[in-house]
Amino acid sequence: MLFTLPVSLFLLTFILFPLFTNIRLSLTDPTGALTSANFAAMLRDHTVWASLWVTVVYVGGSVLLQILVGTSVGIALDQPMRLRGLVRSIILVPWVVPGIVAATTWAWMYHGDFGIISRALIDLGISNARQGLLTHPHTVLPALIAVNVWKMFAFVAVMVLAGLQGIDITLYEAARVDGSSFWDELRYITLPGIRHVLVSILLLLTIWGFNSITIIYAMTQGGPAELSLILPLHVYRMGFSFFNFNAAAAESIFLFLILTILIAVYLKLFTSRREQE
Amino acid sequence: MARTLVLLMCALTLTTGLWASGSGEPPNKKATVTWWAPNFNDPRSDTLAAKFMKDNPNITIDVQKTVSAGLQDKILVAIQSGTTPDIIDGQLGWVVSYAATGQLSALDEGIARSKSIVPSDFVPGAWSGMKYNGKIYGIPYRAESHAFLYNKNMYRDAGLDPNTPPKTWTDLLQNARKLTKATGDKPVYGLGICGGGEVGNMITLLMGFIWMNGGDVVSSDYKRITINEPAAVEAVKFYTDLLTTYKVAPPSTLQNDGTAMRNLFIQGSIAQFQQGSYAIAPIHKDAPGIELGFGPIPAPVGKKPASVLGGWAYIIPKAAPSGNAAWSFVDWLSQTDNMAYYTDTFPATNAAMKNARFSNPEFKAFLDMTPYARLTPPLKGWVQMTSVIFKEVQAIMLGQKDTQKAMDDAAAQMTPLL
Amino acid sequence: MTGKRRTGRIGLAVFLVLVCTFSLFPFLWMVITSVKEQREIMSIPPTLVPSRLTAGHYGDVFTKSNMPRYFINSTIIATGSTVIALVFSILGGYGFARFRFRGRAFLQNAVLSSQMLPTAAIIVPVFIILRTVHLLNSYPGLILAYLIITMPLSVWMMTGYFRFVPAEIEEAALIDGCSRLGVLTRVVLPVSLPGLVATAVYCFVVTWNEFLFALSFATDRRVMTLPIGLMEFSQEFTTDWGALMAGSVLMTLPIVILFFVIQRAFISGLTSGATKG
Repeated sequence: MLFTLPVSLFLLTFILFPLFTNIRLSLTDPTGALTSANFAAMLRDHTVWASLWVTVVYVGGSVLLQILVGTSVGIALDQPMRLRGLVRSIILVPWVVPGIVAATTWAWMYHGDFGIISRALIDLGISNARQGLLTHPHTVLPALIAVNVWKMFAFVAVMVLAGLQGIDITLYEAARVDGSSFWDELRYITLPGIRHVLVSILLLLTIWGFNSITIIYAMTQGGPAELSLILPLHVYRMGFSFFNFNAAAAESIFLFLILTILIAVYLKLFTSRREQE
Repeated sequence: MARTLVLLMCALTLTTGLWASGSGEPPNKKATVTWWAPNFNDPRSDTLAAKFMKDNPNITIDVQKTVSAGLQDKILVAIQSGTTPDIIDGQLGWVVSYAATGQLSALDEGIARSKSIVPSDFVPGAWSGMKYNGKIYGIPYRAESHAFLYNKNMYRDAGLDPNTPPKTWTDLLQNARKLTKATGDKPVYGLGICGGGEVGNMITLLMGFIWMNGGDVVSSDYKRITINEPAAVEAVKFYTDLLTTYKVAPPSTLQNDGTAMRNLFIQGSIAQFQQGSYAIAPIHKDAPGIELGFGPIPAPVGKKPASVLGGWAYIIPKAAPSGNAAWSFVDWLSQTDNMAYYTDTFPATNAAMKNARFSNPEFKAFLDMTPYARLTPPLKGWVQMTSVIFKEVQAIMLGQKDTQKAMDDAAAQMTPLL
Repeated sequence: MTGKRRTGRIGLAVFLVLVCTFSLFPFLWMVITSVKEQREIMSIPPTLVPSRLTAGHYGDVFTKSNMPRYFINSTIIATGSTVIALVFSILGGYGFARFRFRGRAFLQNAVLSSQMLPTAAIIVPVFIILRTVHLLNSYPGLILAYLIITMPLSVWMMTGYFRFVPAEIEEAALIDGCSRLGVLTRVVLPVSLPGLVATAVYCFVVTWNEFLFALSFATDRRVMTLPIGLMEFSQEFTTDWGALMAGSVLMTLPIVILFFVIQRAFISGLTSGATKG
C-alpha cells in the first residue's frame, strides 16, 4: 500500500481537485449560488446534442480505422523482413510529430487552392477538391478521421506486434499440418491470440479520442457550420472563448459521465471476473 | 494514521492560501513593472522600456512577450487568478469584458492628472470603447481600420480603369464579375471574402457590410437582437451571394480567413479584397510585380462606408503588484512620439498620426477610413454570439439554409446570450 | 518466427511501402516547405519539388528565434517529468500488481478516470494549485502539471509489466531476507527494463509535444517550451511558414533519431510486458 502512496497523493491533489472544482462550478452560477440551471440549459442546447453525435461518429470512425489499419500493419510487421527496424521507426513518425504542427500542415495540404492533396485530386479528375476537403459537408469528417488515423495507427501496430509475440508458435505449426490458409490462421489463431491487446487498445483509444481536440481545433475549429464540432471542443470554447466556466463545467461532467458509462459497459463486456479487481 | 495525516495536510494547504495576493508597493522604493507586450511589437517594446528605465532609474520594466494564440483567455485567467503582471496589452474589444470581471483598475484618476493623455484627441470609437459603468479601464495606443485593396494590373487586363476603385456595392460586384475567370488551370476570382478560419476575420468583414446597410446585430439599447431584420439580412445576403450566387469569390472561401485571402491575392488568384494596412508589406515583399491600388470601402448606393475598428490598449489589473509605477509607465508610453513609435499599424490619437511614420501615401485610404470605424458591441456574450453568426453564415454558404432562416436561427440562439 | 507462414513477399512489400508513404508524407511536406523560398511556399498551384532551395529558414530558427532556449527548457522539463513519472509509476505499479488492499480497485479506476476529464476542465484548477504553491513559471511547476498527463498511462503500463514478472523470482530474494523495496530494485526492475524503456519513451514524447499546458502555465520566456516557440512564428498578421516548418522539423528530428536508436528496446518492451496472453 505504501508503494502506491506517491501516486495516490498526486491523484488526490491534481486530479480529484479539478474534478470537484468542476462539479462545484457546474452546480453554481457565476455568483456562487447553487443552481441546476447549467445542466438544464445544457440539456436544452441543440449544439450540445449535435456535437455529441459528431463526437460519436468521429471517435467511432477513428477508433475503428485505427484498430483496423494498426492491426494490419502490426501483423505485417511480424513477418520476417529486412529493414524491419527502419519501417517501425518510420510509422512512428506521425505519433512523434507535434500535434498542432501536424494538424496545421494537414489543413494546409487539404486547402482548395494551396493544398498539395487538393492539387493531386484535381489532377486525378476529382475537381470538387477545389473547394477543399475540409469545407465540404460530406468530406470534412472523413478527412479529419484520416488525420486521426494517421497519427495513432502506429501505436496500435506496435501494441499488436507486441501481443503477437505471445502467441504460441506451435499453434501455427499444427494448423499448417492441417492444411490451413493464411486467412484461416488469421481468423482462428492470430486474432483470438491478440484479443486482449485489442480490447485494451479499444479502451485507451476511445478515452483518448474523446479528449483529443488538437486536430479538429487546428484544422476546422469545429466547422464548417459546426459540422465537425465535437463535444470536448465545445467545452473548450465554452470555457476559454466564451468564458462561461459554469456551462463548460456542466458539459465536462456530462462528458465524464458518458465516458464512465462507456467504460463500465466495456469492462462488463470484455473482461472476465478474474481480470476485474 | 500517518497516511491520513499527510493527506489531510495536503487538503488543508490547498484550501487555505487560495487568496489573491496583492498589495500596494511602498512609495519611493525600487519597483519592478511586469509588462505583457505582444511579440509583434518586438523589438520596439524593449527599446521603449530601456529608454524609460534610463530616465526612471528606480523602476525596472520586465518585458514579457506574449503570443496571439490563446491570448484573450490567458489574460482572463491571469487577472482572475490574483497573480498578474502590472501592464497588459490587449485588444480594444477585450477591455470591457475584462472590466466586467471587476479585476481591472479604473484609470480616471491617472488620466485627470496626466499631461500626455488628452481624451478628446483619441479616435472616438477607440476611446468610447474603454468605458465601463462610467469609468475608463484602458488607454488605447493603436487604432486601425480596413480599406479596400486591388490589383491594378488585373484591372487593366479586364478593361477597368486602374485608378478608379469601386465606391458602391453595385460597382464592386460589376468589377468583380469582370475580373473573374473561373476556368482553366489557374482560375482567378474577382473578390476575396472570409468564410472560415479565424471567426473574428469574417465577423470584421461582415459587420462592416451590415452597418453600411443601416442594420446592426443588436439594438442601440442592447436589449434586442436585430440581425434578422431586413437591413441586416440584406447585407448578409449580399455577402454570401458573392460566393453562392455570383461566384466571384473562390470556392475555397469556407476555409479562408484574412491571411489566406492575402496569400491568394499575392498569388494572383483574387483581384480585390479588404484588409488592414498590415497587408501592404507582405504583398510588396512576396509579390513585387503587383501594382497595388487602394480605395475606400465600397458602400451601398447613397450610404456611407463602415468598418470594424481594430486596435490595442494598455490595461492595469487590480492585483498588479506595482500599480503606481505601472501607471507612470503607461502615461509615458502615451506621449505622442512614444505612441507613434510603438504601434504596429497606426496610433490612436490624431496628434500621433501626424508623425512622419504614417506619411506614406499608401496609408491614406486607411487613415481616411478610421473615422467611419466602430467597435463591436461591448456585450458580455459577444464572443459566443460571433460564433453563432459565423456558424449560420457558413450554413448559408454551404447551401444548407437561406439567409432569412439562418439569421432567424442566429437571433434565436443569440437572444438568450443578451 | 520460423513457425509462422510467410505471406506473399510482394504483396507485403507493396502494403508496407504504402503505409510508410502515408506516414511520412506530411513530414516530407514539412521538410520540403522548410527549404523552399518564401515566395514559393504559398504558390498556386503548390509545387512538390522546390524550384530553388534555401537554408535561410533554418538560419532564422537559430538566430532570430528563441528556439535554442526553448530546446533546453523542453529537454529539462521532459526529462524531469519522465524521471518522476517513472519513479511514481514504478512504485505505484508494483503496489497495484503485487498487493491486495482495500481501495485498490478504486485507486486504479481513479488513475484511469483522470484521462476522462476534458483538458479544458483541468487547466484552471491546476493553475490555481500551481499558483498556491508558487510554482507557476517554473520547471518544477510544469513538470508537476505534465505528470497529470503522463502518470495514468505509465501506472497502467507498469502495473501490466509487473504483473507478468513471475512471482517465483521474487520469492527467492524475499526468503533471503531482502526487503520489498530491495526486491523491486534488484530483482524486478532489471527484468522489466524494456517495459521501463517503453514507458519512459511514452512520457518523454508526450511531454515534449504538449502545447496547451505549457501555454497556460508558462508565461516567462525562461521556461517556455518548444511547441510555444513554434507558435511564436505566427505573428499577428503573418505566419512565417518557412521558419515554422524548419522549427517543426528541428523539433521532431531528435525524437525520430531517438526512436530509431532505441526502437528495438522500445518494442521489445511493449512486447514483453502488458500483453502476454
